[in-house]
Amino acid sequence: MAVAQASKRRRITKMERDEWITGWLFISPVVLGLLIWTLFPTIASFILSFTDYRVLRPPVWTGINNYVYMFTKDKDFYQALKVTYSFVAMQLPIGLCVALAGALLLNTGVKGMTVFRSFFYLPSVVPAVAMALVWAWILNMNYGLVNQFLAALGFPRVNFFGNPKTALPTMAAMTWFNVGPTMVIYLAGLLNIPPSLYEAAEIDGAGSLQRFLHITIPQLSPTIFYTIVQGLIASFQIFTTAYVLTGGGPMKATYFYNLMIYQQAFSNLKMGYASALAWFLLLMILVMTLAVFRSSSAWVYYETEIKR
Amino acid sequence: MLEKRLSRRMFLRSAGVAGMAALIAACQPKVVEKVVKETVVVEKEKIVKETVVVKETAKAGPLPKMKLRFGYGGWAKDYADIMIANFQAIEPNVDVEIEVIAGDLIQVLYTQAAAGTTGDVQWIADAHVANLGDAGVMLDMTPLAEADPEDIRKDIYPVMLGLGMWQGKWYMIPWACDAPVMYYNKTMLEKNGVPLPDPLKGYTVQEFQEACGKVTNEKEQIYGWNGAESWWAIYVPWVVGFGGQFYNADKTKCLMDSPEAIEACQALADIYCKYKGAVPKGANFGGDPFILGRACFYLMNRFHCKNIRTANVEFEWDVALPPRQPKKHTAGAGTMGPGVSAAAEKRGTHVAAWKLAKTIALPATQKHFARQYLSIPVLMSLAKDPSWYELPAPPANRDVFLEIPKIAITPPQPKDSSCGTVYVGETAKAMNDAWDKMVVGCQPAKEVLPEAVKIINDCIAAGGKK
Repeated sequence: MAVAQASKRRRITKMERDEWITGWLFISPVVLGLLIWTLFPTIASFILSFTDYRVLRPPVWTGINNYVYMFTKDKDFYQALKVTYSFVAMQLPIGLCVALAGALLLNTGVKGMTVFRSFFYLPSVVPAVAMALVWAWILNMNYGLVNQFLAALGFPRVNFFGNPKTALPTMAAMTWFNVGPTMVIYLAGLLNIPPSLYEAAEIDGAGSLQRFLHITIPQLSPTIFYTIVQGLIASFQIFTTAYVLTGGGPMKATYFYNLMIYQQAFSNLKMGYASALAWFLLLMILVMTLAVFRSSSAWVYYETEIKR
Repeated sequence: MLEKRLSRRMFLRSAGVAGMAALIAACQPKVVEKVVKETVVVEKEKIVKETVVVKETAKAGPLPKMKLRFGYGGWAKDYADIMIANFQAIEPNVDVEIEVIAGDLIQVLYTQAAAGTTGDVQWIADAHVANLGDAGVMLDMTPLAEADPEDIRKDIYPVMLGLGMWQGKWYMIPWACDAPVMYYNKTMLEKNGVPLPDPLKGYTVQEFQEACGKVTNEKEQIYGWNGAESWWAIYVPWVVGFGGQFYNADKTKCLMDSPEAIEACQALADIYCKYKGAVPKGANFGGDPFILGRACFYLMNRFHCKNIRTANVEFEWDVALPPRQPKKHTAGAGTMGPGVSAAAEKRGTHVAAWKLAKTIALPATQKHFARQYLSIPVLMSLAKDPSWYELPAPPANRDVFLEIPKIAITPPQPKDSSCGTVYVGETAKAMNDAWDKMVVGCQPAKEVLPEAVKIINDCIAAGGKK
């Protein structure tokens, strides 16, 4: 005990202090950046969410008025939630399946796998705005490739972005072609599965579907869990495509939640209300992510884990 | 005792300094005392007259050496360059620094205003006048105009002047006499056996609807009207022309759910839904549908003449007044132009900024724009000026541009901008959503408009607060 007390009272040596200072100096740019551009704006936006703040006038404290208005009077709030959840439901599961399918194909030992992998990854390095504009050309009702093809086959032209029924599914479908990063992650996961498991299963008479369901999926489950969480967070924050292509229309069919925040903040200049909306988005994503985490114990298999 | 002698050098130096001081004093501008305000103050039962005297300096010559900053969006570059050139010919000591604003002009202006870095002169549009005026971003130019010996306001078309005004204050100088006229494809109308419109009367509403329907050929992607019905300059004149109003007399209530307003909006929406005669929403031909020969009618301002002429279109075209409503023939007006920022006043450059801004309305500048088919002069004295009136056809129906300011109306203005205007904010959003439902969803106006009006009136009743 005397020794413990003595060590507690041990003074920091000059060298240790210098090392401590040097360490902090090295990480200070990152820490300062986090404080100035992340922590401070986060705290500021939380406080502003309880105010009526119109940028050019000082914020006026209004308590929970913004949150009350959001839930009781703003019809666009529910429309934005509906559109966003519909988009997530359409985009996430199918997008992950497409990525997994692509990874499985690439894992068959096909010649030129690295080249194919690069091709699939390429769309993700194209800026989002450029991608949206290219899709606008391809799907254009009047001169787009898809409609020219449909017209040649005798089908009527489709106004993909101008029809409220087709606008949202079209945007969801656009994202399925951007699964390169997820595919690469799955491929890495597949390459980590020991071949001995497949050999043993083959010896035991398991077919390809059984091997997929009972070996591939369980072994890949931690990777799938990771991509679901990442995909969920990203798809709730969809913005660029709607902003560039439709502005939230037609008839608010593509009025995403993030677009609503942007319009409230920068078009209507209601920073306080936009902050409240943003904090609710954070809460929503947090709840969804926690739900996925809680469910993971039932379906995610870790090699070192023992399930009782 | 030491004797100090004044050397010749010292004497000459002292004389030089004294002479310079005398010269500077002689060249000082004359201070003119000018009574600008007389305040009557009632103090209990005693009436006290308080005369406030403000000393103003009357500048004798050009402005001193200084720098002004002029901010504008990229689309206004041509106009701004001409303004600056004309200004610097008159005020050679003033350097004008240009700031081209990319992206959303309002967003950038608000950010700059919050930071106190707005340019001295800003190019804005009538859509922004209410918000910028209310927010104190732009300066009321009325005192500057009144102090100016040449009051340009007297010669500007009243309806155009009104576009730059908000609650009696003047924030924007209109650059042109801008009111949408109806461009029509003569070749297309003749091909489809549709009579041409009377230039100075326009079609009736029914004639216009039927013409749109008749020329439309969906298979060939050719349509009647190019749309833009959600622009107030299109639908509000129709509402007024049908006998309705946007607001009531004291601007406390929106009246877009009146039978007249509903009838007017339904007539517009019918072009899409009943006559199938308008370019569908979301259609994109890769360019202007009128110029590409995809739309027969286009309601747009004078500057479109330059676009059409530059494109060397293969069809014959001309202009006419917009469709004639049953009770009153009206049209909308909408323009843009420069204004002086409030930040300029804080910096003390507002007088110079005013001089720069007003060059937009000088006859030389106006004629320069007019000669290029860009605009009709905003000055009434240049109504039939050869700079535009004697330009080669098309368009041949020049008198249409003389008639339009007589029937044009300014946008409806609410009591305050807390719920926005027909351009921005809650009011514009409610109306845009309503138009979306009427022309895309083909929902009846009598169901859609009351919903939009309720949103607007609830906002007005709550004072714009939540």
